[in-house]
Amino acid sequence: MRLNFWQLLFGFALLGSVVLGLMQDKEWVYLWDFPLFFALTGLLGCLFLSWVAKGLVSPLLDRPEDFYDPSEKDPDWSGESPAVAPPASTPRGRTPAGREG
Amino acid sequence: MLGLIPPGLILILGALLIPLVPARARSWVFLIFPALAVGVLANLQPGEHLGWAFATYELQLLRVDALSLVFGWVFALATLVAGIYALHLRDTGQQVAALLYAGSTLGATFAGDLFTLIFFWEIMAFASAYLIWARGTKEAYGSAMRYLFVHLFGGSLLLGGALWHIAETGSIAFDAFEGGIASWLILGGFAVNAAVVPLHAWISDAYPRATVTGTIFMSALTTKLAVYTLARGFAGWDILIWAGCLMAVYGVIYAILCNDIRRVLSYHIVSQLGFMVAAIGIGSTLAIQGAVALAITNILYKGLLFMAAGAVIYSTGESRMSQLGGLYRQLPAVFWIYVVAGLAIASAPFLAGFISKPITVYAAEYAGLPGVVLLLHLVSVGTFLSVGLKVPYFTWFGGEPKKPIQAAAIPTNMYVAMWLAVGLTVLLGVWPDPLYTMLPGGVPDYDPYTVASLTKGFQLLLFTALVFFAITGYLKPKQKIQLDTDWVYRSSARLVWRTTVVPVERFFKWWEDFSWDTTRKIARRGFDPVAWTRSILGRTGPEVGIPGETASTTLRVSMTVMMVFLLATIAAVMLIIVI
Repeated sequence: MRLNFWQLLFGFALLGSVVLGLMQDKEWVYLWDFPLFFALTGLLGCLFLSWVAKGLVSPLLDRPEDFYDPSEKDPDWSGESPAVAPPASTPRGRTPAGREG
Repeated sequence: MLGLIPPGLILILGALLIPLVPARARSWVFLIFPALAVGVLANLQPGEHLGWAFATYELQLLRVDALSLVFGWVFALATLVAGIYALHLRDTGQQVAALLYAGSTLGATFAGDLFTLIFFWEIMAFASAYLIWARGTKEAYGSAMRYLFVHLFGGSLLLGGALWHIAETGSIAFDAFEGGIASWLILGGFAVNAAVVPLHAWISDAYPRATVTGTIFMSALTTKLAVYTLARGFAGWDILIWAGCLMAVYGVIYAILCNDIRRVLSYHIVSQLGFMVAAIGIGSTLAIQGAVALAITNILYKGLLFMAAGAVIYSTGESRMSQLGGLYRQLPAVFWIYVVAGLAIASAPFLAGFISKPITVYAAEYAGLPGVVLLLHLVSVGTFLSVGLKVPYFTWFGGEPKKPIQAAAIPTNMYVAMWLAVGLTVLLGVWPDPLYTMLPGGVPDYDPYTVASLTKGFQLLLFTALVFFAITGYLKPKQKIQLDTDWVYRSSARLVWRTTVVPVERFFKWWEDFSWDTTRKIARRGFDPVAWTRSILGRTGPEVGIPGETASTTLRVSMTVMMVFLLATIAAVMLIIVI
């Protein structure tokens, strides 16, 4: 496996942070005084949160992008369409359509 | 007393004056007012008051103490930076709204009594809603209306609570609240603006839909003012600790899921507000200092994140990560700006987040709440994962976009504003003293730079990044939206529409048809002067009007009514004569 410069740098930084943690001689009072606590939190926490979000929450709550805009399917429903024209702004300097400043 | 000008009034005055200056100069003149406000703030000393007798009450237009002063400073500076970011804008409506919004925020910050606070609180809601509305799209219109309704609901809670409080205590002063129904109502009002779950959905609904420049003002002002009011009114309320923890986790989970860049950032505001709300709930001096420091630095780097995201949207017209990717070749500078802000919010060493967020966690540790500490560490991981890694990776790298994107040039003023914020983020990170000395209660009893804290910071970030790069495929954003508590009022809106508007419309439709029908029937049987004239004269003329009908319905009806009236009059006259 060939590593590029950034990957090597990242690897050394990982190692360095672990060594730095182990070098500190601190008395344990809490869980987070364990020298590698934050490395493990990063490692496991990231996996755990990704799993909660993508594995648990996403299947439950994902909906298509037009979920709240059923105006085309339902002729009775026009509650979200503007009753008046959107606010007029100075036409000069208006950026191209679809973009604004 | 030149020193005692409420700085908010300067900005509100600016909102009135700015339409009068020539269009080209407006965005430059805009900057004068926040700059003036900064000048006024520099002269304010803690302890100063400005009262104003109104009816039987003495309003406190200006109450200067350490807490209001530090927030005043950051609001004015944020307005200045956002003003630079919006220099290219030629939209008077937005400029007026932004000044009015920032001015009322400053007004509310220095308000010493509940009436003044509510007055500015309501102006804020309207002025900021305009910044969403100004986007001009159908979605923005809907969002702005919902935003307004939610904030008016919050404002009503606040007003109700304030009136109750005044009736109970006889005092209009805005100070720490003691409890009771009035206080809970006021807390509810503040909680809407502080995006406390489940009252938070307006933030992820509105911020991604506001204008590119408008969102910068919004992210800096509304929620952070709510943090200020909570810190003043509800420090040490236990419920806020748990509300804060819920917010911190809830926001970060959604931030990991969302597809729209600015929606990720909006949910992440909820998460960061969770840290602040929890710290306010802890209520110790150190915790309040942590909450304030975090709010102040958050305005800086969250604003910077929104500015960088706004630059991408301005340049590409696209805000969904599922449609973006590979932008590094076209927008490298925006990438590096974003990365600084993303690292800062993940509290990477030597950036502003490192000197503020750990104070809140440390305060929780000090208060003997190990569960809260662990949870906040976990949320820190999610912060870096969602805002610091996911967004930049899938926007600037992560393969090619579905459709090729041609990035348009970004105005220089946007870059200037962003680099200015980058400079401040780094400056505060390496030199926190200016912020620390301004905190209420003196310099906090916390040393950000120790070998231990640096090790913690590096370990957390590096190992999170390691996992992220291993599972990027799993985390790829999907082209979906996620349901949230706004489902309650967005889907029920349809039901309400069906049950209230549709039946009424149908009834009037039926009534209209019925009355026309009846009129027509009467007319057919009624008096037709044309036919009558013809029958008397015994002549047949050309057919007029609709074939088969010799006179129009209106004519028939009016003639019938006239004849009835005439006959009735004659009958009445005869009756009178006979009698």
